[in-house]
Amino acid sequence: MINIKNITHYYGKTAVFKDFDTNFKAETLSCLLGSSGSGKTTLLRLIAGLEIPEKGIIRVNDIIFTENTNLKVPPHKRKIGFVFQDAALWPHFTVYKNVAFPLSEKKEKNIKTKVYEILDFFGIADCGNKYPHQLSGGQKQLAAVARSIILKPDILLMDEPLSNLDVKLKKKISEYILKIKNEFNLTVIYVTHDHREAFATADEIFVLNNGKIEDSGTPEQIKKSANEYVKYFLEY
Amino acid sequence: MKIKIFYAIIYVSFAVFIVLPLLYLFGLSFLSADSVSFDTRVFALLGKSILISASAAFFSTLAGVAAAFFIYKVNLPFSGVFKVILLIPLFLPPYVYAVLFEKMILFIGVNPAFMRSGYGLVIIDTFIFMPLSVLVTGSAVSGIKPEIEESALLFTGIKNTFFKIVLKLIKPSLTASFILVFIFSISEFSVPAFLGVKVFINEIFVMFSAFYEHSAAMLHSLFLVVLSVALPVADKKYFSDAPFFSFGIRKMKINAYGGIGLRLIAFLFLSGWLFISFLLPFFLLLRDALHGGIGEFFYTFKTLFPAFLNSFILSASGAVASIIAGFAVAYKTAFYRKKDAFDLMLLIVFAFPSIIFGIAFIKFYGNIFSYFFSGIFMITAAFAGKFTFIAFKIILNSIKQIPYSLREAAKLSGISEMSYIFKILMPQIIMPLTFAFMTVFILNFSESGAVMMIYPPGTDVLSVKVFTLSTNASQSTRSLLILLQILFTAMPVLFFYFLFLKIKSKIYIVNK
Repeated sequence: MINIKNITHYYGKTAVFKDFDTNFKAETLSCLLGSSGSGKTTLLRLIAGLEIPEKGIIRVNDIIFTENTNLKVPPHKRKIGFVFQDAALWPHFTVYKNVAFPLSEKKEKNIKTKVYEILDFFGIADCGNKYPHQLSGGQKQLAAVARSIILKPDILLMDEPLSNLDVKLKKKISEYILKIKNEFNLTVIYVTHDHREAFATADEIFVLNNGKIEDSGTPEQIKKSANEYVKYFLEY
Repeated sequence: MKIKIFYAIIYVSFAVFIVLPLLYLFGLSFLSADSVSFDTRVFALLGKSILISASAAFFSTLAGVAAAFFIYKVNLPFSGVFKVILLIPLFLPPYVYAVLFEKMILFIGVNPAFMRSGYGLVIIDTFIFMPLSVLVTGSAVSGIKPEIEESALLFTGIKNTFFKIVLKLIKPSLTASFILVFIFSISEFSVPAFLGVKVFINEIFVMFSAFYEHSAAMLHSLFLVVLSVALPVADKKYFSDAPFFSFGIRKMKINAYGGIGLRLIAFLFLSGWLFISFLLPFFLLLRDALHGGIGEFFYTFKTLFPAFLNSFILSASGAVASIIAGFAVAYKTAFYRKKDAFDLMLLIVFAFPSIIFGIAFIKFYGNIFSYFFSGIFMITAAFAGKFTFIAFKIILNSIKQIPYSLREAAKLSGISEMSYIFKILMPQIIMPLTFAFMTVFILNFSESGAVMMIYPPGTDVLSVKVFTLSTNASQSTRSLLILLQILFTAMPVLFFYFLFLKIKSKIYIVNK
C-alpha cells in the first residue's frame, strides 16, 4: 500500500499540495483524474522521489520513502517504474539498449534473453535495433513501458502515457497495461485528464482538483458521484 | 527590391573589406614561398604549441562541463552569482589573467619559473578559457529534458546517470568546447608573451614585427590558419547550429540532484574555482595596485582615460557593424531558410587567429586600400570580421524563437518586409539584440591580438597600451594598470547592463 500523509509541496510560491493525505491500494490500478494543474503529475513525481516535498511522509508497505525534505530511499532504490508522457527514451540508445540499461546482469546473453522476452511481450521485438526517432508514437510508448517494467518493479507510475496517441493505439496500449498489471501483480497509478480512459482501465479513480481529492471510488461510484466538481468534470 | 540592395551592400562590403585581405595574405604567401626557408625549430615550436593548447582545451572542457552541470542542474543556492562571476575572464584581455596568476603564484610561494613555462601557460589558459567551456557545454546540459535524466535516475544513481546519459548526450558540445578553446589558445599571443614562453604565434609576431621577415611570417602563419579554420569547419554541423551563442540559457534543475552530498561537492568546486581564479588574485592585485596611494591611482587613471575613450568608440563602431551584418545574415537564414556560403565564411573568418588577421589587414590596406590605412575604418572592419559570427548566432537563435506565422500574418495584411522587420520583428528581439551588441562590444574592447597590429598610429587603444606598459613596469605599477584595465572594462559593462535593464522594463510596460 502507498500511504501519503500530510504532504505539503510548493512550486515557487504556489502551493500544489497543503497537508494532503491519501492511500493507494496494492495490486490495484488507480487512476488520478483531473484537469491541468490539479497536481496529478506532481503526486506521481513525489511518489517516485523526483520531487522533494516541503513537509509530509510517503510510505510504501511500511517503508518510509520520503520524510519531509529527506529522500530516505533514493529514486533508483524504490522499485518503481515510471512512464513519462513523452516516453523519455534516451535518444542516443537503441530500443534494445534503452530497455537493457537498468539491468545489472554481467552476461550479455542473459540480458538479451530478458530484453527480447519483454519486447516480444509488447510486440515490438523487431524494433530492438531502432533508435527512438525511428519509432512511431505507439512504439515509443510501448518501449517506454517495457523499459519501466524490465526490473519487475512493485509499483508502476504512468503519466498520461496515451495522451499523444490515436484512439486505436490508445485501446491497444490500454490492453497491454491491464495485461502487465495482472501478470506482474503491479500496483499501478495512472494519470489522465480523460475520464473515458480512466473508466476503461481503472479499478479505482481519484478525482483531483487544486491539490485536493474531490472524490474517489470505483468507476461506477465516480459516475454516480454527487460532488459538484466531479459532475462538472465528467460532463466534458 | 530594397532588401536585395541592402543584402548586396552587406555581402559585397564583407567580401571586399574583410575576406579579400585574408585571401590577399594567402596570395602573397604563395608568391613568396620560394624565398622562404623553413626552420625545423619553428615546426618543433608548432608541435609544442599544439600540445600546450590541446592540454588547456582538455582541462578547461573537463572543468567546464563539471561547472556547467553543477550550475544548470544541481539545486544550488547562488548558482546565478556563480555563473556571472565564472564568466568574468571571458570579458577581460587574457594577459590580465597572466598578471593576476603571477601575483597568486608569488603569494603562495610556488617557484615563478614554473609559471613561466609551458605548464604555467596550460594552467593559465585553462582558467582563462574555462568560462567558454561552461557556455558551450552549459547550453547542451540545460538542453537535456529533465525526464531523460529522471528516467535514468529511477534505475541508477547520479554518477551513472551523469556518465552514461548526460555526457553521452552532450558529446558534440564537448568536442565543440575542445575545438573552440584549442583555437583560442593556440592563437592567443599576449599570455605567452607576458610569461616569456615561446610558442608558434609569438614566433610569427617576432618574424613580422621585430625582424620584418614579412614573407616568412605570412607563410608560417598559414599552418596556424589551416589548423584553426579546419577544426571548426570539420565540425561545421555543430558550429552552424551553435546553440551556445544564445540569449539566456535556461536552468533545468533536477530535484533528485538536491541531495546534500552532491550539493556540497558542487558548492565546494564552484566556490574553490572562484577563489583561485578570481577572488584571491583580485585581492592581491588590489593590495599591490593601491600601494602607491590614491594620487598615483588618479594620475594613472587620467593617463589611461583617453585610450579608454578611443577603445570605447572603436569597439562601439565595430559592434554596430557586426550587429548590422549579423542581423542581415540571420534574417535571411531564418526566413529564407537558405544556408548560404556566407554562414561558412563568417565561421572561417571568426576562426582566423587575431595576429594573422592583423598581418593580413596591414598588408592589404597598406598596399591596396591605402586610403583606409591607419584609420578607424580598418579597425572597425577587423572587429566586424572577427566577431560578426557571434552576433549572427545570437540574433539567429533569437529570431528562431519568433513564430513563423507572425511574418505570414504580416504578409497577408499587406505589410512590407521592411515594416515587418522594424515594426514587428525588432521590438520582439530587442533584448537579444542588445545582448549581442553588448557581447560583441566587450569582445572588441578586450581584443588585443589584431588591434596591436592595426590600431591607428597617434591614437591609444586601452588593451594595447596597458599590455605594452605593463610588460616593462614595476610590480605595483603593473598591478595598478591591470586594475584600471578591469575597471575600464567594468564601466561599459555596467553601462550596458543598466541600459539592458531599462529596455527590459520598457518592454515589460508595453506588454502589460
